[in-house]
Amino acid sequence: MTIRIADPLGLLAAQNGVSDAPAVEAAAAAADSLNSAQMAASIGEPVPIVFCRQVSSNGGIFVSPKATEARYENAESTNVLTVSLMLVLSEGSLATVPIKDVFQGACRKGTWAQTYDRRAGTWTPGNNIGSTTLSGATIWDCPQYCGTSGRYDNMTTLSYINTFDDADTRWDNQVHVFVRNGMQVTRILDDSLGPSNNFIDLALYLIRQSSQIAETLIDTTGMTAAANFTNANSFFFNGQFSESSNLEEWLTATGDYFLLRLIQSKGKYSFKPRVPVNANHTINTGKIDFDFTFTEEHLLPDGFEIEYVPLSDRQDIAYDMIWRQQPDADIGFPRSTQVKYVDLADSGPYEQHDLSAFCAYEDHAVKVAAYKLARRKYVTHTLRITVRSGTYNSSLGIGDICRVRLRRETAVGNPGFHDYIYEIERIEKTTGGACVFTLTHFPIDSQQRSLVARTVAAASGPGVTIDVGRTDFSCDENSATDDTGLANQGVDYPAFDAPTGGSGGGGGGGAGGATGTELSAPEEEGEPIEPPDNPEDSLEETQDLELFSGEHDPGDELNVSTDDFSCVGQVQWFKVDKNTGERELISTQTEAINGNYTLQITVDTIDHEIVAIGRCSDPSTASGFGAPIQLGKTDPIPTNTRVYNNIIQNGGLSTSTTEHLSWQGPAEIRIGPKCIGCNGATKNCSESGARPTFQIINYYRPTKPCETITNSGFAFQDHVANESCGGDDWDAIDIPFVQSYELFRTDSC
Amino acid sequence: MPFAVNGITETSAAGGQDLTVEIPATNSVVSEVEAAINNSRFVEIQIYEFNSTGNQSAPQSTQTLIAEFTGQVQGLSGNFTRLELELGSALAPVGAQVPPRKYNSFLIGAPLRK
Repeated sequence: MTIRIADPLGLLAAQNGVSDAPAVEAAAAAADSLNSAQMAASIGEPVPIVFCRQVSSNGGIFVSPKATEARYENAESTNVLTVSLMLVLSEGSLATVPIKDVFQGACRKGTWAQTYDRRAGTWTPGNNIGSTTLSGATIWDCPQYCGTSGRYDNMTTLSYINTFDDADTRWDNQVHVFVRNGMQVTRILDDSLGPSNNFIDLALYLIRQSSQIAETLIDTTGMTAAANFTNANSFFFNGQFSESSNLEEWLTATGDYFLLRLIQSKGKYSFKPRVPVNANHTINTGKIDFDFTFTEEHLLPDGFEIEYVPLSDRQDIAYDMIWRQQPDADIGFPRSTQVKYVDLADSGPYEQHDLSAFCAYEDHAVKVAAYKLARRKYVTHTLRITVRSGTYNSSLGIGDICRVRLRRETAVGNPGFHDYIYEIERIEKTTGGACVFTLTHFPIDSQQRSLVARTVAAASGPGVTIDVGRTDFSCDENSATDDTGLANQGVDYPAFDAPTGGSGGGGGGGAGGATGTELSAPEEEGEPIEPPDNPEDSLEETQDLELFSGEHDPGDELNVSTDDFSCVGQVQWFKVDKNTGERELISTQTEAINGNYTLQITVDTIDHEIVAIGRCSDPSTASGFGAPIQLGKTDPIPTNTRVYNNIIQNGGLSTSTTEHLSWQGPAEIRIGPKCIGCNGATKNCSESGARPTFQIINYYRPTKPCETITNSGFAFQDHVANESCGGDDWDAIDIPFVQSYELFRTDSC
Repeated sequence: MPFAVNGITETSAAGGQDLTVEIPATNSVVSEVEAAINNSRFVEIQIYEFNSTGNQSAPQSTQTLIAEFTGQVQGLSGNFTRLELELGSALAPVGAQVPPRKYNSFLIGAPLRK
C-alpha cells in the first residue's frame, strides 16, 4: 500500500542531515566483551558479512564468530576436556587468516583450520563426556545438542580445537578473529576481485544481493565517483555487518557517515558527496561556481517558500564521535573524540555518534563531526521555488549549486535582494511545465568558498594512539608474530550430515537435500474453457424469434417484418465470426422501411453468421432500450471463391471468358448483388434454383489506350447447367474453388 | 495513444520518487503492462519540450529533452477502461533486506544449542 502525503519543507532539515540527532545513544558497537561465553548461531539470524581491508597497517576488524557445531570429550584418566568448535566467520570468501590473529578470550591459543564453501574440520559433533577416574574431577557441563552440520554454502568457516585441564573455566570462552582482509568482492575502482574497505563496494554488493534494484537502475558513473570520493578522503569501511536492517535505511544512514547522500536521479540510484569536490575527488575548498542563477524573471506566482532551521537544530553542541582504534596485531577497542568549535559548547550539550562498527580512522570520525557542526552553524534555511520551464530543466541535478537572487521592493529607490547560494535537494518536473526546486542554503565566505567544505577539509583528530593497556601476554599459546595461515581443512558433505540429493541450493541457501522444497515451474495461466452459463432470470427472460435462418449468400436480402417485431425500438444487425465468435455491429436501424428492417448481405460478411437483435424502447434504462431479442440468425455466409463455366453477357457480345478478357484491361471481380435463374433472369438469391452472379468491373477504352473509363454489370451464367437444367430448378453441381483469379490486359499500359 | 504522466521527481530523500502513468486499457496495453510487471521489465519515460506554433502537421524534429526516468512497473491499478502504472524501483522503504543471507537448515543443519 502506498500512502502519498505532501513533502513539507520543514522536513527537509531532517532529510538533508542538518538535524539528525540519534534516537538512542548506547555503548559503542566495538565494545564486545572478550571473555563472555561462546555464542551459538541460530536458525533465521543473518549470516554476518565481514567487510574490511587493511591498508598501511590500519583497518581490519576484530570479530566474534558464532558456533554452529561443537564436540566435547574428556580423557578418562585426567579429565582433560577437548573442545572442538565449528564457526562461521563470514559470508563469501576471505583470505586465509594467520595464526597470530585467532584468539579465545584474549589469548592466542588452539588448533585452527579455515575453509570456504564447506564445513571446516573433520571431527564429528557430539557430547562425548564420559566418566573419569580422576579423583575430585570437575563435571563438565557441556551442551548436549551439539549440531548436525550443514553445507555452509558460500561461507568462510573455521574449526577450532583446544584442550582444557580439569576445572579450567575458560573452555567456553568466546572465540575471536582479527580479520585484516574481509570478504572478496569485485572492487569498483580497479575492477578486480579482492577485499575492499570502500563503502560503495559494500553498498553495491548489498544492493545486488538483495535483488531489490535491477542493475539497469544503478548509476555506475555516480557510484564510481562516490567510491573515488571516499577513497581520496580516507573514509574507509572496516566492519562486520550482521544486524538485520532495511536496505534503503541502512544505505542512507551509513552513507551519511561517509559524507555521501543516496540519491535517485532519472530513476537510477547513486551516491553523491555532501561537500563539493575537485576533479581529483578531494574536498573542494576553493571558489565555488554556481550552475544557474534564478531571478524574479523565472519565478512563478506564489513560487517562493522559505523555512528557517529551528533554533534547537542550530544550537552549538559538542559531538562525541566514537570510532575504533585498531592496532595492527591486537584487539581493537572503541575510542571517542570530542569535536566542537573553539570556546563554544564547552560544557555541552553533547551528541554522540557511534562509528566504531566500521570506522578505524580518527580523522574520518572527526571530519564527519566537522560536517555536522558546520551545517548546524552555517546553514540557516531551506527554500522551495517554483519556476517556469527553462534550459535548466535538463541541466540541473541533485547536489548542483545554484544562486537565487530576487529583488525585494521594500523602500522607494532602495530595493533589497534575497541573494543566496543553494544546493539542490529535490527537483520536481511537472508536465504542466513548472519546475519545483527544493534547496538548502549553501553558505559561502567572502571569496565564494564553501564554509562547510573548508571546515570539513581542515578538521583532523588529535592523532593520539592510546595504549591498549595490556601488560600480560603469558596466556598466549600461539605466537603473536606467526604469519602462518590457518590450514585449509574441511569436508564437503560430512557423513553425519544427511544430504539426500537435491540441487545443492544456491547462494541464498535455497532448497536442497532434505531441508528444502522446490515447486515445479509455474504453468501458463489459461482462460475459462466453459462458455458463459449464467442462470436465466425469469424477470428478464425474452423470447427469441427465428424470422430467418439457414444458408444465405452475398447479395441476399434479410428482412424483419414489423408484423413480427412490432414495438417501437431498434434492430441491430451483427456479423459473428464463425471461428472466433467475435461480434461486430453492421447496422443499427431505428425505423422500418416499407414495413421491414432490411439488410443486404455483402461480401464483407463472408465466413460470418448474421444475427439480428431487436430492442424495444424502454426509457427506464440507461440505454433507452429494453432486453435484447434475437430475431434471426443465418448460417455462415459462404466464401466467394466459387466459379462457373460462364459466358459473359456483354451487351450483344457473347463469347468465351478467355476471348472476352483478351482485349480488356484490369478488372475487378466480385459476387454480384443479385442471383440469376436457369434462363439468366434475375432472381432473389434465397429463391430455389438461384445461382450467384459475378460482377466484373472493367477499366478500358479501346480507342485511347492508357486512358481508362469503367464499365460494369456483367453477369456470369452457368453455361453447363443452362443446357441441362430444362427448367427453373437446377440440380446441385460441383463448384470448383480457386484461390486467385487474375485478369490481364494486353495493350501497352 | 493518449496517456497522462505526473511530474518526474529527483531527490536525495528516501522514497517518493515513483512516477505514475495513466493509459487506456486497450487489449494491447493490458497485455504489455501485465507482461512488464510479470517479467520485471523496464519502462523509460522521456518528456520533451517543443513549440508547435504554426506547425499543425507534426512536432518539430528538434526537441528539448527536459526530463527522463527509468523504472520498473511497481504497481498496476485502474478500471476497465484505464490503467494506472506506478513506475519506480523496488527498494522497499520498510522491511529488512540486509544482510541478504540468513542461517537456514540447509546451510547449518540443526545448530549447536547452549
